[in-house]
Amino acid sequence: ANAYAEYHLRYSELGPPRGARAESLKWWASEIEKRTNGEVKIEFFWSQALSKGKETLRAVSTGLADAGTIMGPYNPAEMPVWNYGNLPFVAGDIWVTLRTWQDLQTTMPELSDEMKKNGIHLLANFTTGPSEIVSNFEIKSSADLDGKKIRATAGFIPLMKNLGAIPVNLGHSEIYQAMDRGTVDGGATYMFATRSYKFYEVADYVLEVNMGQILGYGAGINLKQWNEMPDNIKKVMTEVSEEFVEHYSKALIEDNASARAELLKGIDGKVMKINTLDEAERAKWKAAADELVVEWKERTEAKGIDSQKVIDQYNETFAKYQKELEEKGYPWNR
Amino acid sequence: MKNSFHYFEKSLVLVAGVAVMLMLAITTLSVIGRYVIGAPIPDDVVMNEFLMVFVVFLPFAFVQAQREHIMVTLFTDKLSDRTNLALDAFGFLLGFVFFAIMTYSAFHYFLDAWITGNYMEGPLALPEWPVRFIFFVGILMFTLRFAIDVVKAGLELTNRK
Amino acid sequence: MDPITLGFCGIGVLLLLIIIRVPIAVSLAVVGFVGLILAIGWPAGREADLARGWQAAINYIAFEPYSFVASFSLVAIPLFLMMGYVAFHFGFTRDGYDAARAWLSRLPGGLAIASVMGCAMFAAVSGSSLATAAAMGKLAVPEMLRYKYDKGLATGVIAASGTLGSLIPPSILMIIYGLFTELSVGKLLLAGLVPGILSALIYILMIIIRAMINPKLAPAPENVSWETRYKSLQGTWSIILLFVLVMGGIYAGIVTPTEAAAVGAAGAWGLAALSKRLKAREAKLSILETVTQSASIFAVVIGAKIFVGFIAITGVAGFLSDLALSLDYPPIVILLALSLVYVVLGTFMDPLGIMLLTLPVVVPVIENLGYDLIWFGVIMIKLLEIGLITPPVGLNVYILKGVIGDTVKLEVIFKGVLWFLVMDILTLLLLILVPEISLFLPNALN
Ligand code: NA
Ligand code: NA
Repeated sequence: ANAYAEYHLRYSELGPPRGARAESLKWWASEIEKRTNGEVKIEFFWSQALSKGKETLRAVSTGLADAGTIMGPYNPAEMPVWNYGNLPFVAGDIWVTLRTWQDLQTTMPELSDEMKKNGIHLLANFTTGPSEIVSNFEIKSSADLDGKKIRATAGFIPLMKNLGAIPVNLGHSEIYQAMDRGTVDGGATYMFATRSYKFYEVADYVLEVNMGQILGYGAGINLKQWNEMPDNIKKVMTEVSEEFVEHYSKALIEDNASARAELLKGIDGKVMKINTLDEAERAKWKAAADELVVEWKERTEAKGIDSQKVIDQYNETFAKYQKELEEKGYPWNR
Repeated sequence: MKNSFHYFEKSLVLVAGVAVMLMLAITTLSVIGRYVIGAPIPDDVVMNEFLMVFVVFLPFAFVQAQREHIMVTLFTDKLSDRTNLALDAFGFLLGFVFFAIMTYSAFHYFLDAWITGNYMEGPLALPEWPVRFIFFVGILMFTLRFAIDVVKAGLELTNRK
Repeated sequence: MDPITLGFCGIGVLLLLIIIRVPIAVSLAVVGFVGLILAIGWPAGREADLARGWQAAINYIAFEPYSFVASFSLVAIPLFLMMGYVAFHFGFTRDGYDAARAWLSRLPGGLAIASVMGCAMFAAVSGSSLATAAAMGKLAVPEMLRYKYDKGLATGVIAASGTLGSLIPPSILMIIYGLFTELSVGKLLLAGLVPGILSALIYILMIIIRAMINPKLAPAPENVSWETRYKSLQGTWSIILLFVLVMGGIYAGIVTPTEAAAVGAAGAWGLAALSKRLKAREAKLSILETVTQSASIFAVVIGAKIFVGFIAITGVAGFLSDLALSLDYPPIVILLALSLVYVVLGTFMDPLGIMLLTLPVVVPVIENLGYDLIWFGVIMIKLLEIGLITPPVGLNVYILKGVIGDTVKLEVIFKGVLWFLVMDILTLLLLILVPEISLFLPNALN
């Protein structure tokens, strides 16, 4: 035996070593290390220190990194099926949606094919959790958005436009400054991020819309590396990745809940008002994003994929876990 | 032949110049659009990102032709002209080898985008392959410029014997 | 092969190539590329599989430079460069410096001091040190040279004052540090303000003293009449308007800093037209110099990215920080040792690369030592800024070299920067010994 792990994996991660995903990833890595008796060791490169988020797919498929956080949104043509998960209003509850996409990785050939084609084996699916809006004016319905400058990216740009707002395309790390200076009046972000990015310092309101989540991203490993590893190690990594879904969902849901409570109570004396969009109004917002699903279908069909089949299988799996949630509650509460 | 290469090199700089003016125009018009008609130019961010590739990579060869790539001459100033020429030749050769490999890789990177039809998410769904092709052209020209400079330095070295 | 050894060998070869006048971009890229092949293809304790290293490295040198360049946050650099070139070629900077010379004639080193203040003001609108050096380089250096300022002083002052860009808010580096540490971005940005101004004041003091001792460094005009002074103001309205446009636009929240670069460049063109100075030759020169200089700057930055990719995989940055942090000495000694590590890393890496690779190791330890992370952030940013002006890889110095061309040698700039470097170390010691300099403003916010 030597002093080095048999499989020393470089993992290229998108964000900093803070927050629910980072904590869950650290747990994932240490569980894998423990259960393989140290044969697998995972070294993290946080905040894109090894490869840009946009290029992590390529970094992993070519072996620069052995594993990493693969971003579907940057590769819409290469991973059309996976990108269905990012469309506004497709996602629901965090655990249900995440559980669904984790399942589809193995049960939906259209999805696993596009991973394989890109030289990736996906271990664990991620999610950002529900997209909400922080703003320095109160939003109760889409009428309030009229003429307001709202930070949005990807599919949320046409959504905001259709609702009457002026979309401003900014990186997530630019929101703080843009809100502070008034360059934008609001921005699409997440409940947990409203706390961790300190948006409460520069905004007064949060609107809970759950306009969708980014689900087309996750922890992937180089396919060749994966195929070289012995079965017992693959088994452990798959097992831990499955548990990761529960672990991560729980952490994210709790993070959002505690952020929500704290924002309501006030941090450093700064209290936020949180409104929740009612169902009728939410349906109106959802309709404003319908064209995106049509566009997605056209593009996916053009790749020779039966898009309706993908949607049907997604809905079916989603319904199964939604029912499970309603009947039994979250797995960690059972 | 030699002149037409330099002419092409120069035209690429002009293209880069047009690109930087477009960046200026798109961003400024987008700001004006946001305030005046309540709508920015769609995909202004993506267009700017694409134009950056034109601005940065297309002038590489011309900049090398003008010897404007930055180097340290402090330690070699006292050496003879011939030694300096030999060192230059070595540097250009290294540059040639590296950028030849990069050209090959940039070409495959372009092919990838061409085959998959990758585009940038946004209202216009702008395709990526033309920009990656520009990247490839910039690096290819840079490599050829290094090749010319290696040969030139080599000839000068042998002539001076 | 031991990756740490490989990393240090790579640094050695890099130095050697730079010494034998291989273009810096080529030196960085070649060593980074070969290093990546070895680091990936020959991991510690395993057999070599160089085909694997080749496969990874060859792809990396295409997608990383491309994706790095195709990024919206970098758009500000060519556009600010363009603003500088336009203002220069149409004579706005000349007017501005003529006025500064007339009004500051009694002040030793007046133009250099005006340049420090110009940089500080520019820093207050741009989030990046590179953008500050790029824009102010063309605005200020040719003017100081025109008035026979010492070449080292004229270039050193801009390369060094350019580093204020990341200390005086806004600052991209500070925001990224904030995300890493989950500190209040507002407080962090505020914490950099006084240290930034302090750095500028110390520079100014040093310039005055040096110019008094050796007037040849900064020749001053004799007895400027009040008439000349008032007359000199006439031409300055355009450059003032340009500053107001850019700074006002950002502070009023009308534009983001990146957009401000475009608006500033557009404004410079507009002013050239308004003042009837617009000429085809100068217009063409402004555009061409903008793109060739962008290319030569980015060539080095791309080389640095490839090299940093290699250093990342070897783990040298984490190894050195670990070494400093594991010292069995009082916290202050550890902090000083860590500062030394940052200075060493700063000699051959870019600030963002250093930060991303060291923070995961450094932040928890600094927290455990009981230090204030806001205060540490200011110190670290200052250290990273110092790295921008230290040889051999000093990006601000390279930018300046690109902007001014053949008139001043690279070595002269590095030599000119030396004085400012000594002042930076003084500032740094003050910041370490008196945490209130950084902390009283953000604490007053509560
Ligand atoms: Na700044
Ligand atoms: Na340096």
